[in-house]
Parts: sequence; structure tokens; C-alpha cells
Amino acid sequence: MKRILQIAALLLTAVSCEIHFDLDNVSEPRMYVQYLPSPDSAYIEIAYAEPAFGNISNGKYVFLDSDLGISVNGQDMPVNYLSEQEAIELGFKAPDGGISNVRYAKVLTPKALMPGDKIDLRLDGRGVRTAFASTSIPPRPAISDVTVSPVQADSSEAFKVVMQLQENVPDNHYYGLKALIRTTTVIAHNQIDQPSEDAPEPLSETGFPGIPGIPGLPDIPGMPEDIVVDTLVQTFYTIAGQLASTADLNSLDLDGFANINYYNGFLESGIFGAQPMMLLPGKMFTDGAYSFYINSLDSSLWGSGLDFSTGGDTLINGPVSEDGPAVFSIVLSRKNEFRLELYRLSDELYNYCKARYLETFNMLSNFGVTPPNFTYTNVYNGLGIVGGLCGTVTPWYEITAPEN
Amino acid sequence: MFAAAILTAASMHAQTIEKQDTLDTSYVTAVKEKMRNTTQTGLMRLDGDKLRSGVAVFGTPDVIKHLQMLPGVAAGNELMSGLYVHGGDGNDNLFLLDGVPLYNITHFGGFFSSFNTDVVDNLDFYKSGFPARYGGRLSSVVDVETKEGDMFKYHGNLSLGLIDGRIQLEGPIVKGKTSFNFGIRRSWMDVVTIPAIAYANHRNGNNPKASGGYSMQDLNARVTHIFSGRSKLNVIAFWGRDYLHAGLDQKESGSTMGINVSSMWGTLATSANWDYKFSKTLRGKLTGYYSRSGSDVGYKFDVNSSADGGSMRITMDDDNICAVGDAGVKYDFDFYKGDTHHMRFGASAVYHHYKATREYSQFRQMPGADGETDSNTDGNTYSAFEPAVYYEDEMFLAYNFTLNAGVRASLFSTPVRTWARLEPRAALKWLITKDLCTKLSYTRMSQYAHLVSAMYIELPTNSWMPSTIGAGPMISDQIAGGLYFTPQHFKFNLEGWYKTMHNMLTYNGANAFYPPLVNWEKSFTAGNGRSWGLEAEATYETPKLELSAYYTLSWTWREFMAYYPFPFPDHNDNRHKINLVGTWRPGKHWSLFFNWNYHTGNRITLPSHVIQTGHGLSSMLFEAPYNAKLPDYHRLDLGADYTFTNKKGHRWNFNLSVYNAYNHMNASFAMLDADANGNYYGLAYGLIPIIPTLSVSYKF
Repeated sequence: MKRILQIAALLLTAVSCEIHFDLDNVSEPRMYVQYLPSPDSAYIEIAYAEPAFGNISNGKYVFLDSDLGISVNGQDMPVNYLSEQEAIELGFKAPDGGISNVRYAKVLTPKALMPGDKIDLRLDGRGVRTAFASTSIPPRPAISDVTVSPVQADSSEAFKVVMQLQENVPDNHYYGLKALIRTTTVIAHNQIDQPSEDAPEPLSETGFPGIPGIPGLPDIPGMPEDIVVDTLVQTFYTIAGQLASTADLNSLDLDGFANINYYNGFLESGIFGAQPMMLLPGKMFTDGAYSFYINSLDSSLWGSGLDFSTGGDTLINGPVSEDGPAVFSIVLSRKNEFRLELYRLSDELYNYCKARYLETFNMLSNFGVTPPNFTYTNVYNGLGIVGGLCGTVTPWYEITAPEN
Repeated sequence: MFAAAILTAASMHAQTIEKQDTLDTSYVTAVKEKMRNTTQTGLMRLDGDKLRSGVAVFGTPDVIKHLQMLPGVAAGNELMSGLYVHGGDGNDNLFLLDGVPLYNITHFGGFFSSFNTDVVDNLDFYKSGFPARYGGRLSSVVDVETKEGDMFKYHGNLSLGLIDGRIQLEGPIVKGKTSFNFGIRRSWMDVVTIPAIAYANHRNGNNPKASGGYSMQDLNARVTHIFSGRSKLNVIAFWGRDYLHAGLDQKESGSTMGINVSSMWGTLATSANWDYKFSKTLRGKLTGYYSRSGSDVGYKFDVNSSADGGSMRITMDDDNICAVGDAGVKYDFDFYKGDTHHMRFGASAVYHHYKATREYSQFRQMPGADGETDSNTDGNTYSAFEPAVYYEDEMFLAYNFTLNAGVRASLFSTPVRTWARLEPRAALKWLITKDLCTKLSYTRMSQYAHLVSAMYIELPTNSWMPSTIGAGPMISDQIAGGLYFTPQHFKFNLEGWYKTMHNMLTYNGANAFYPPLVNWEKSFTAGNGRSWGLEAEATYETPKLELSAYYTLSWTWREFMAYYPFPFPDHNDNRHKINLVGTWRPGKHWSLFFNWNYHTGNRITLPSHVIQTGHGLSSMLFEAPYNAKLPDYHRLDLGADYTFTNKKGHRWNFNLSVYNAYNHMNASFAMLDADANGNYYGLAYGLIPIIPTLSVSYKF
């Protein structure tokens, strides 16, 4: 349906007449802040937001200087700006091309932030108003139980996961959920090419001692004789899909399933494939439990034991040219596991995430037929978000292939 | 004793003024009586003839488009039948058709209103100073009364416009006792599109085979029976329906694909009222009614493919049903106590039933595998009981003061909670001279029903829902006052208002045709609204020439703290609005019309800030809702009626209407764009060009 809306919008654009007009309500330049304090993260992204209104020349405004002050429970904390190299090493997008008005900093707290800590931010930028914001670290969510059961849905193997929290979940509590799948494969092969560039990150490669001979191998029909058996363990991490069935996603409660790019991604969504996080308002829980589906597993992952594949763009093998040597591999074993990362979000962080999520859909607001876009902010005199969160991570749960 | 003295003095004064009126021409007296007889501020009365004349967009006179020209009213999106009164939301207007509240009053996604002007007798439009007998909506009352049929002669009217045809018939069933008035309207676009599609299919060899069409129709019927000079019965029905469907079927080497979309929505309203004069001073009207507004929107998608590896089939089926039904009874009384009191009081009880369900299912069968079904059903039904009582007394006080004071008390009871609301109403008029008066009013209104919509336009997927614990009743308070001067042939009004609205709802979910059904209130944020402004009207009226100029200066703000932490302007925050309306009747055959509309542009939300993130890329931020203004809107409509009567006394009328006569493309939507130098500017798109239409009607 969204596609239909977009096509309709394009058609209207095609048949209409263009009118250039001056923008009123010229905005001031603002400082943008993205600070998501948690016990696990101390990094801040700040940026210089130039006004789009008022025919300001692109690039006229450049990030000149800023003075960042952070206090935790009333005590000032030292802040270090990261160098470009440090930012790159931490996975932040480095300003190494063209104009960049983005900087990164780290708050040096004597100990990790704790639930209940109150954080205040003050940001002075040259030529802009001083921005203020505050937030608190919400309580850490406690998962009391996770149950997994295989189901058949959407024609692919899937699992229904029920996550039970210890705490009661009122409607005005907000959570973010990520599910990560780890597939560990032990492979015997004749040649290890460079890993495919398409392979999901991170990909680790660990040399295993060679397994001298595998009983039964010569009995495999068509087994090439020149195979050089070596072994390695490959571990793939993938995001566990949309965390809901298609029907649930069509259940009209779209905001309950807002899937946003969290962490290092608000300004860069779609560029570096930031990790998606499902926003979950408390209303999505029933008696403290949220159930969802992991339904995006590729069925080719489910092979276990001896498996024989040859050539081509298999999941394991990289592309091979027609002239190159054939690549053979044997999957000795494969293990699939998943874990959940559950975050309790402050109200302001939830509002911000949701607003950014809605921005991606809200092109119709320009027609005046839907509520407007806007970027929620709790930064007074500025833009962005200072919103606390606190997460918990489950152990890895092994999942086995459903029996067909 | 003091009160009695005041009332006696007031009575004498009122009688003196009435006698003075008889010295003027009847026309001027009528104008002045309108003004003097109305204690309320913000009231406009239109009769059916006025509504049927003038510029008719697409050849169809439209009640709502008449109201859009009035001061204090924003029209919203171009061509739509939006009615945003004194900063209202558009879903807070009480539409009454012969006393029955209607929920869905438009056709074709809001392009036309459901009121067939052929059968309309008169219309009262309240923007403020609401009498206590009205309740249930925050911002306005549109009280439409249909005509009683002629008790002695048969009449009829046939009309044909650009998009629809209309038939109206009236006459006696039993002469002098019983009459009927019947009107039907139907669009005929599908009459053209169905053969056109059939021809296109034929040329394609019926592969792919397309189908589709749109039609709207409504029917009004009224039967009146006079038992005696004291007793009269009316049985009234209204039925309106829109039907839109489209489909495509395709066959290709062993596979078939079909997609079908259908949507049907409409309203049924039936009522019976018994009007009985108990005495010269007491009159009562007992009304029973049932109404139902609803929609059924569905789509089906079916792909079937056979190949060597087996057959594949994917089907998707979606059905969305929304409905709201009211069954009510009310008894309204008019009581005159001497010359100094006109009391109105009554009681009503309404049972509301709300239903919104959606079923989605998907079947998928891949070659060589078993089929799998994924289905989901959402929705709920709600019920509510709403009793109400009211009392209002129009009192003639001393020194030409008239006070209409009243109160309305209502309950809204649902299985989970009951709300009680007391709504005081007061309107004070001071007749300073025979031609000059001033008025002041205060009203409180409550609204228990919420329109659940993800968009600001009329969609069949919109549904009405009752107040719930998560979304309580809305309340508005409004103060209005003005000065009204009516020298001969002229009318000058200057009126101001200040209005606050509480517990308004704004949608805070993802854009979708389908708004949420379960826990719908969780996708809405409650907040407040404020609106204030000034309206000015200058009218010159003679039998040959009518000229009116309306001006509105207004501000409309919203405050939804959980949505955005600061107040922000509303989409329809049009600072200035000017309407010039004129009618000239140079001879007995010709009538010429014009209206010119101007308003400050609607507000939209555009990116306000840009962050250069390196790599030549940037990120856009939206600082606040509705932070930009579209270019100002202006449009001229022209119309001409040529009327002649044949030898049989039947009248032909040809109407030529030109919408947007100077073809000014007004901005409908906009976005932010940048030129090659990186300078940002607003880029708007205009959609509606000049639209000339010809319509003809034959009255017999």
C-alpha cells in the first residue's frame, strides 16, 4: 500500500505545475546532539545544523568550535573529542570526504553509568544558541524466560520466540529489541578464497588444525580427487529479520513495530547498515511477555553434518570465475544460535526514534493530507536527542532446524 | 420584583421595535429581523434557493462549498469539502439532516457533500454561540432541513451536470393532508468509463482484462402528513453510497494473476418526527431516528502459476469494515411565556454502536511444497449510551437586552467508563438602535466521538470511535462577540472569537490508508488547541444586486506536548482570508455570479536544517511541525444562469460555471529543493486548473 501511495505521489507530481516560493520562518543554525547514555556507551555525536530556509548557501556554515559540558548527578565529567582515526576505529563515520559538520566525543565517567543516573548536557557552539538537555538512565530490563518453538510461516522456517520479563510492563514503558543470529560453520574445503564482500560483518576466520581424512569421503559420488581438506570455522552474525510475521506487520499497529536504525545510525541510516532495533511500546506486551517471530533465516543455513556443494555463489564460497579453479567445500557441522538484546528506552528516546522512523514514511504530509513530519527533540535551543537507555543481553540460545 | 419590572420593560421595548419595522420595506425588514431575532453570535442562515444558485463546481451546487466561503471557516485542501471552523479539526462539526446527526457527509473522498441542494429547504450554520439544544461536537453546527412536499401540486426538477444527474419530485399524496418530496442523485462517470474499459479490453484481446468504475448516489425522501392544524408527522429518509472498484486479470502461459480492489461506503439515516402544538404557547417535537455510516474496503490478489516443478499459488485477501450506528429518540419543546420568554427544553437518548474490523489472510504455496496460510484478524466493537437534557431561555430584558441562557447536561456511558459533562451556554444581545446591535456569547461544547484517521482527508477506511479511557471526550470553550449594523440595503458585521479546545487528538503513527483498529487510541496523542480572530462582513443587498465581502484575521495553534514539546501552528492557520461574492440579475433571464477567494497559504512541514555528514552527503532535520507556509491561495469563480419559462410554465435553467477562471495553479503540496549553488527554496505543485462546466435543469 505504501508503494501505491508513492506511485500516486509521483503521478501527481508528473501532471502538476511547479511553483517556486520563498520559505518564511527562517530558522537559526542549531547544534545537533545525539547522546544516548547507557551503562555501555559513553559516546556523543554532535553536529552543526545549518538552516535550510532562507536561501543559505550550502556549505557556508562549517562546524567551527563547540564546548561540551556533561554532568552526571550534578557532577561535571570530562569530555574528550575523538580524532578522526579514533572515530573510524570505533565504527563512526569519519569526516574524510567533503564538508562534514559532525564530530564525536567521549564522556569520561569514573565508572559506568547506572540506572537512575541523571545526565545534563550543555553545548555551546560558536554563533549558535547554547543548547541544553537532560535525561535519566532508565531501569535495566530483566528477562526472566525465553522460549523458542518452531513454526511454519511465510513459507520459510521460522521460530516463535516468547520473551517474558520479570517486571510488569505498563503502556508507558518503552523498549527496543534486537535479535542477533550467529551461525558457526565448520568447513572442509580445497581452497579458501577471499571472503565475499557481501558477507555480513563481522566475519571471523579461525584456522583449525586439519582433520586428517574423513571416513567415507571417497564414497561420495563425483568427489573430486584433488580436494585438499582443510578446516575452518566461519561465524556469521545476521539480524534476525523483522521480528514479526507479515500478518502482524499488517495488523495496522505500525508504530508498534517501528524498526529504526539505532546506534551510530540516525544521521547515516542506510549508508552503513546500522543495526535495526524494533521499538516496542508497553502495549505490545501481554502480561509482561512479548512474542515474535524470527522468520528471516535462509533455509540454506540449516544444513548440518556432511553437505556437499560445488562452485558458484554459495553462501560459503566466494564468486569464482569460469576460468578459475573449482571451489569445493564440505560442511562438517553447523550451529545456529540467537540472542536477544533488550533495551529499556527513556520516553524521549522513544519519541525521537519513532519520529525518525516516521520520517521515512511521511512524504504525504507535504500534500497536507497527513500529520506532519518533524524531528522530535528534547534539546532546548538545539536539535537531536539526549535520551538514556539501559540494555540487557541474553545468552546465546541454540536453535535447531525444524523437522519437515 | 426587579426581574419582573425588567422583563415588562423589555417586552414593551421589543414590541415598539417590531411596530417600527412594519414601516420599512418588507425586504429590509427581513434582513433586520434576521439580525434582531438572532441572539446567537456566529450564526448564518441560508435558504435553499441561495444554496442552489451561484457557481456550481462540476455543475453540482454544494452546501459545504458555500459554507467554505464564509468568514471564520477554512476550507483545507483545494476542492475538498473540508470545513475547519474557528480553528477546528474538521471532524468536530455537527451535521444534522432533519435533526439526525450524520457522520459521513461527503462523496468521492470529500469532493462533494452528501446534501442534495434540490431538497434542502434551509440551513442554519453556527460557528459560535451554540444554543443548548445542540451538542456533541466542538466547532460548528450545520443544521439542514429538507423541504416538505407541496400539498396541492406536483412539481419536479431534472438536472444534468458534468458528473451527475439529479431528479427531484414533490406533490400531494392526499391533497392538503399528505405530501412527498423525493430527490435522487447519481453520478454517471461509470456510464462512460465502463464502455471505455470494455473497448480497451476488446482491443487487448481481454488479456490483460481490466475492470473498474466509480459511482456515487444518494436519495432523499420525505413524507409529511398533517393530522390537523396542531399535529404533523414527517417520515424522512436519506441514503447515500459510493462504490469504487478496480481490477486486473492476466493470463500468461500457464499462469494467471488477478488483483481486485473494491470499496463501498455510505450512510443511511431514517427518522420520524411528530410535531404537536399543545397550545398557542407550547409546542413539542418527538423524533425517533436510526442512522448508520459505514464502509467496506477490500482487495484481493491472486497469482497462480503452473510449471514443470509443480504449481505455485499466492493469494492475499484483505477486508476492512468500519461502521457507526445510532438509534436515538428525542423530545424537543418550545414554550413561550408571555412576550418575554421563549424557552426551549428537551431530552434525548442515543445508543451508539461502533464497529471496526479488518481481516487479512495470505496463502502461499510454492512448487513442491504444502500451502501455508498466514492470517490475522483485528478489530473490535464498542457500544455507548448517551442521554442528554437541555434547557434554554431567551429572555427579553430591559434596555433592549436579550439573553439566551441555557445549559446542556449529558452522559456518555461505555462498558468501561461513564463521563458526565455540563455545558453552560449564554448569548447576550443589546439592540442599541433599530439598526445596530452588539452581541456576546460563551459556550462550552463536548464531543464524545473521535474520528480515527491516519489522514486529513475523507477515506472510507476512516472510522468513528467512542471516547475511551485512553482518549476521553474533547471539550471546547469559546467566547465570541461582535457589532452588527444594518442600515438600508447594507449589513456590516464585525465579530471576534477566542476558542480553546482540550483533549484533541492527533495521529502519531505511520502513514497508512488503514488507521489502527485495536488500541487505536495508542496511536493518537492528546493535546490542546487555541484559535482566535476577527471576522468582518459587509453586504449590500437589493433584489438585483448582492455584493458581499468577508474578511477573516485569525490564528490557530496546537499544543501536543507528547508529540512536540512546544506550541505549533495548525495546518489551516491562514492568517488572512478574503472572500468577495456577488450576484447580479440584469434582467429576468440572466443571473451572473462571481466569487473570489483569497487566503494566506496553508502550512506544511519542510526540512528546516541540514547537516553535512561528509562524503558529500547530508541529513535533513525537521525542527517543528508546520514550519513553512505555502504560497498564498487565490481563485476566481464565475457563473452565469440563463433561465426562461416556456408556455407551459416550466422553467429551463442553463448554468455555466468556471472554477478557477484565471487558471491560477494554487499550491497543493510542496517540498524543499536546492539549486545548483546549494540554495534552498520551496518547490510547490499546483494541481487544479481552470474547470468550466455546463449544467442544465428543467423545473416543472
